[in-house]
Amino acid sequence: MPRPRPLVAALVVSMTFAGACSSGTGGTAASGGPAASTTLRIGLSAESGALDPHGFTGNFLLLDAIYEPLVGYGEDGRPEPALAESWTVAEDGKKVTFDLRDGVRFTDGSPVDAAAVKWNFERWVGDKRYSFFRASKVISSVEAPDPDTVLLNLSEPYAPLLQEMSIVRPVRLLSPKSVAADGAFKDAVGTGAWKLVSSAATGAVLERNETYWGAKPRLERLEFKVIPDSQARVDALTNGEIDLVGGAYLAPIGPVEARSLGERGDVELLTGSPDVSILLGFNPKGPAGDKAVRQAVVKAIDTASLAQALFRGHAEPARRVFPPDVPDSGTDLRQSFDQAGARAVLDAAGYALDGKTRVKDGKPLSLRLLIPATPAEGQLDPRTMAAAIAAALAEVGIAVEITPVDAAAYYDERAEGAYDITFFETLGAPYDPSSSIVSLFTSGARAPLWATPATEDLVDKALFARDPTSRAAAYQELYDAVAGDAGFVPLLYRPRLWAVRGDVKGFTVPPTDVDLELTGVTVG
Amino acid sequence: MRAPGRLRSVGRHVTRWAADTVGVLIALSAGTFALVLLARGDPAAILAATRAGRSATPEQIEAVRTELGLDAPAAVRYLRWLAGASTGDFGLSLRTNTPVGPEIADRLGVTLGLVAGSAVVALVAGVAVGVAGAVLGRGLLRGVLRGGALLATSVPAFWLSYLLVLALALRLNLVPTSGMAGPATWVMPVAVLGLPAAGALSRVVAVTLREALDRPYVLAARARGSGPVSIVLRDGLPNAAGPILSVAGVMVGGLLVGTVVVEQIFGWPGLGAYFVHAAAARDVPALQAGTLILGGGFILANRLADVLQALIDPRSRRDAGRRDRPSRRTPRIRERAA
Repeated sequence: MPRPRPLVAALVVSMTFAGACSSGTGGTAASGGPAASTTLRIGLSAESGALDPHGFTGNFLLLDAIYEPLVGYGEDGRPEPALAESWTVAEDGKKVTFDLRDGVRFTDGSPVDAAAVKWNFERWVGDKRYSFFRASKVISSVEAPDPDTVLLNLSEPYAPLLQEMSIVRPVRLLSPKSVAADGAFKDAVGTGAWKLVSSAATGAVLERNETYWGAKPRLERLEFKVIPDSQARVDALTNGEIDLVGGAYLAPIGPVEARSLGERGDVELLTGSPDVSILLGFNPKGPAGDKAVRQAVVKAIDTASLAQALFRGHAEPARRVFPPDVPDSGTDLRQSFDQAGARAVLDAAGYALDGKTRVKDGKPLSLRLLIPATPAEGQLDPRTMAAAIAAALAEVGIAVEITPVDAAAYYDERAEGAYDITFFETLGAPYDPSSSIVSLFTSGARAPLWATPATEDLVDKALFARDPTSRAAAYQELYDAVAGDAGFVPLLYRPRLWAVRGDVKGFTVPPTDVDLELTGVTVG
Repeated sequence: MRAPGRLRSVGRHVTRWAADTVGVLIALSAGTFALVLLARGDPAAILAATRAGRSATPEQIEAVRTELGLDAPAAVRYLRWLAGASTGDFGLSLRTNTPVGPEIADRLGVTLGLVAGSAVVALVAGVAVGVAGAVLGRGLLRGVLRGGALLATSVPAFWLSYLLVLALALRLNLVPTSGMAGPATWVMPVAVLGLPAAGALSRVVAVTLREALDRPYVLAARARGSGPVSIVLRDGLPNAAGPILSVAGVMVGGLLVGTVVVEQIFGWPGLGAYFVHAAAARDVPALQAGTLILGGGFILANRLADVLQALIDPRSRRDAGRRDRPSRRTPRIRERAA
């Protein structure tokens, strides 16, 4: 006779019961947005990180909402007054004096005076960890001659300084009271239009700063919700769970999602003027070292139909190194889609067609196209673009071997030159054009797009030009030199996509993707 | 009352078991470390680029490498990590520059909640469908259940996720599309994770239970006049519990792995999502600690299943237990239960 096993029986039964109870909790219906609201719910692709303006991990847009710089980034990339009302640059370019805006206070009540600014700057000036930021090396000392004036002494004249004063990390101002005794960051306290209420792994909440010195927002609350998956973000938007997505650093919208959003009546898809170009670069060691090959590639790619096919009208084909709205982006380069021309260049250089692929000296003309195996969050899938380019080059007899590598390894492989052709991007506002030309056209950069002694000299000339006219001329000279070498193919200007639900009123695409301009926005 | 000798043997058993587990975990951590070393992708380069918000120069990358102590030989770095880990200090995350231990502790609760919820779904649905499969005769219902179980185990998690979002959130508006706030948001993640496990479990339950119901003691119980429900609960399931438990142990490991996809899609701030970010950034300290926790969880779940099995079924504690050969006769109980 088997012994009864009450324990197990009880266990099984109780599990069944517990399960029946817990799996029976259906959700209440997800509520759509309320009719009128003083809260805007915003999608966020990753958690906001520690919101220390002098750290490295905080989300750009939240930092931008909470903290302000001395100098803002204007619509056309020109510096405009922010916490500094005005500034003067000394004749020799080695002293910059800022006149601070009067009566501004941090949200904890402490004043934004010269001492506070000096304290903030000294948290990063000369610190090795900020070596990527040229201003950190160029500023030799910070002085506070009176409570209203801040003076920066530079070791050398540095024209992009004012523009770089508008970036988010690390130049924004934090209240000196919001750090621990050892100087470690404690609370997110700034002077911005918004102040932080709470921040967690699932999102963050900001509320209006009632003592803001500038134009106060009409909304009272911002709720940021972390939704890592870009398709899930679009679902949440169309389902009325969030009101706003978009921007490269907030909640990117990929081209596929943009297409589905563009077809909906209850969602408004907005495109801002692009600030990033996607470029195709060549490795001079290998088949692409032959200028004829590069010229043929430039002529063989029809960027207009590429833009149409990949983005359905949400992107423009590129004609320059930088999109037209970037300062000193020069004039459109004289390059055009010309298949016959591409074939003629290759014929003249001795690449004879043998079946489908051209051959020279017994070697088939084949290019290795290195790509990251997975698209960056919310960005264009590089595989699609690579396939389109391979097809275009095959038309003129150039074989392409697409080599996908793990996204983390991609930049290493690119830096090591494990490619014949691969994609590059400019850095985007507010760094451009000065930072990008260094990383694209000088051999000291980790993975330059096209670097020759000539381009290096022209980069220096552009960076150290003393007046706007000669600077513009130097930039144009640089672009013309690279185009003359057929050193790259401008592919597309990356569209800046944003989307809001229909009842969000007054939202306009911000000047750069690290800003979030919500002053006039209302919901419902 | 147990004999003292018995206690000593239990003590020896526990000691050996602990040593075993620690050995496995050390091997696991060394393996992870080696894999990250072998993978292309330089954490210093990734971090330097993250700081700058753009690609970094070689000097900047070297500066970061020195700052993080990544310039030391690999063996030294591993031993440093091991020394720290043995005192509970898992070092700083390369990605966020905060201690890894607390970061993981914060996220562990989310993942354990998800796994627990999914395990409940898997057990309830799996056992219910399995019992039905064992006692039902060949027919449409049994076919449907078997087909459903097969389908549940074979659909990819991300596909099932999008399907559920489309159906439950976008069409029927029953639950929010993603996020972790309130019971409604649990429905989809727990279903996506729990259903495949339930499908696998239901097959094991059906087969082992049918085997158990073929045994002579079931016939005896029926002769005593026990009803079908009491036979399944008192005679069938307890005797089928061994195999079911060992599968459940493996299942928990599978659930832990599955959280990686589900947390990413539904935006749950758990260990799985943390792991994805850490892997992308080649954040060695975070990956090491995460592997240790996940690996440890996997081992623990399996060992726990072994222990439970030993408690339930004395035969599995003995090396040679004579087992009755299951007969091939179809149990007549089905005629009653149908």
